[in-house]
Amino acid sequence: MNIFLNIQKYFQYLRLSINILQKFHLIKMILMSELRLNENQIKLLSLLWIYTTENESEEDIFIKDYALHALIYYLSEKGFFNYNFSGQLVFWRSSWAFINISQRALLDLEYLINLGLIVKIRFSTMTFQYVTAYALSETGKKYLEIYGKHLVEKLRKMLYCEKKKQIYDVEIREDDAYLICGDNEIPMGVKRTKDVSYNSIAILLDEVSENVA
Amino acid sequence: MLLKSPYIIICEWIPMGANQFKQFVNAVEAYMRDQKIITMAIDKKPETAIFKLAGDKAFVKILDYSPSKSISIKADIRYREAEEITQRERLGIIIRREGFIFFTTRIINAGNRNDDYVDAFSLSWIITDLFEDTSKLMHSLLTTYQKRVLEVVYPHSEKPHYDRNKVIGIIVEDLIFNGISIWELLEKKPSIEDFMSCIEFKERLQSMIGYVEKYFLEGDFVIFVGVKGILVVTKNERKIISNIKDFLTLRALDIFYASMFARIYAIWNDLREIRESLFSEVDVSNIGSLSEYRIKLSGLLSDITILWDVNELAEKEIEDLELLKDNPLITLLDLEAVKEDVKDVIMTAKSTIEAFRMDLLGIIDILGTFVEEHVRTMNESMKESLSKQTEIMEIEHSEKRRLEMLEYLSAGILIGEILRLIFEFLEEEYHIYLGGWKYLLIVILILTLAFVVRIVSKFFEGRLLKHAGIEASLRGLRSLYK
Repeated sequence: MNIFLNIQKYFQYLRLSINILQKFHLIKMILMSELRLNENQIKLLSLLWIYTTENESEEDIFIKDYALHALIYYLSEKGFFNYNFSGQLVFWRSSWAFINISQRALLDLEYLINLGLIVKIRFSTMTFQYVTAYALSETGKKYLEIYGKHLVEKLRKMLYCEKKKQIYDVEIREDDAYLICGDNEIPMGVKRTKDVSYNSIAILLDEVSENVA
Repeated sequence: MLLKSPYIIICEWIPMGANQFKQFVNAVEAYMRDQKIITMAIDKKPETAIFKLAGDKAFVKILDYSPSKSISIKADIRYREAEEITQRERLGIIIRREGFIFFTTRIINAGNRNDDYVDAFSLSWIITDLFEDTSKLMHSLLTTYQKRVLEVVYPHSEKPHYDRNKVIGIIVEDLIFNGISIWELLEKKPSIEDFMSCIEFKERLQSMIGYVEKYFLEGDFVIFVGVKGILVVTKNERKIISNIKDFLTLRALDIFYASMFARIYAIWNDLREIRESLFSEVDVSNIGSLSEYRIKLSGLLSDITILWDVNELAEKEIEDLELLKDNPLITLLDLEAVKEDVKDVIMTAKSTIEAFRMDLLGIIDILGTFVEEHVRTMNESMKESLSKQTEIMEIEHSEKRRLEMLEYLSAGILIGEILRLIFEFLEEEYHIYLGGWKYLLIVILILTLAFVVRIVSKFFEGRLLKHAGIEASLRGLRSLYK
């Protein structure tokens, strides 16, 4: 029996050591390799740092995708991120609506997840909907402590609510996403899609080469 | 990324069927091929002679109308945009009897460019604008029934910043990336993998057609399939058009069903909340709150009945849908399998809707039981109150009798005393002696007077009761009216 328990313990230690080595290797790989993230990607990590690590909760904190997209749009408008946006039709609360989403930000998130700097989860809700949420991984935190502390500070200043001495909360409402701090509510404008000038001609599907305008 | 004169097709499925198609034909006067203005404004005073128009408008011209098949329309949309924005938005529209609607347009220039190339980001915003404007246009053309269907599947879709889900098809002759034509790049290295591994390329592509699921290089076609639509780069536009129609048609139906299921689950969630609050919070004795639930549930039942009807239509349309033969996209995009998949979705939707309907009817039944229980309790308390009232009335009646007797007796004693004094006065002053007869006379007079008093009091009592009866009847009528 004792031999069996000893073997079990031995395997536990072995697994733990492997985990530590793996993590160390990943951090080392990121820190020592030529890999350098671009500014937008580090800023994304900073945003996740602000909303998922700076709290006293013992639980793991994740930021939901719609709130993250709204923040990315708001912060791009404020000049923090440098992303292009397009209107994407999504199921917003109770119906389909266009919101400003950056495809590049989505690709950056995907890239950071593949590197293990961000953790992505998908969970069910009380309704039929599923929600995707993101958080900074331990490796991501380590990376940011070395490369992005100044960006975290810059972002904290932008999202800090003096009145309540805390970071603005994000609330998704029917008409927009809002930054909330007590009575202070700032609409982020994520549902205000952009208009461009253009000129078009009407062509029927069956007569594609024929101009009927 | 620049796209040369992109030809854009937006396709959606709006449940139509033969009856709705006929109504639609009448609504747009499809048989008359003149130009007319279609507006979003609603005439709220149909009795007046003047109609003031100050909103968005679209000029619509019927180009072709084939009874029980399709209508072809040309639309010139003149919706108000921001001051610095100039849009000349002209669309070709084909409305098929089966409910498939194709909005088509070719962008000849956009943004600050003066040539016929449109950059990918501008095109993505143009697509957003076309989505919104085509929804607005169709909303003003559709029949009340179709508007009701769309209200169930896509709530608020006619309002700004909300929309209906549609599928996009973009066909371009050439695509320039980093200043070089895709055809030139493919000549050097015939692989799309290189494009797709470039993050800038992927970003621009996804901003137009959503997350890219698959891509092909097939003969003179380069095809990118995204979750929102398809982009085809080809020099043989005419060839791909008829083929792409099948893809768009199936996708439109699929997208409609995805949206419909999203709504079914949202409504189901509402139903769950109603059920929970019905069993936990509702005061069964409060008929007002029960009525509120009844109204909500009948609204949901009407929604689900509409969805059932829509599903019947979709079932018919998918059965009748025949994919074009010799279509290279059929094999490439596995359209036969997609068709079977959509067919399965429609068939299984039937049982989901039926389950939902049964669930809803179950709750309505339970609510009915609550109402019955409420009525039974009310009946019992009414019965109880009636018997109590009868008892009180009986007590009141006997009390009244007793009082009457006392009154008669007191009156009799009083009259007797008066008569005795009168006889004594006659004896003393006029020496008229009646002997023992005076007692008999007193008794007769008392009885006669008591009889007269009774008749008089009955007369007044009757009048009073009559008055009280009228009052009570009026009160009853008033409460009934309320």
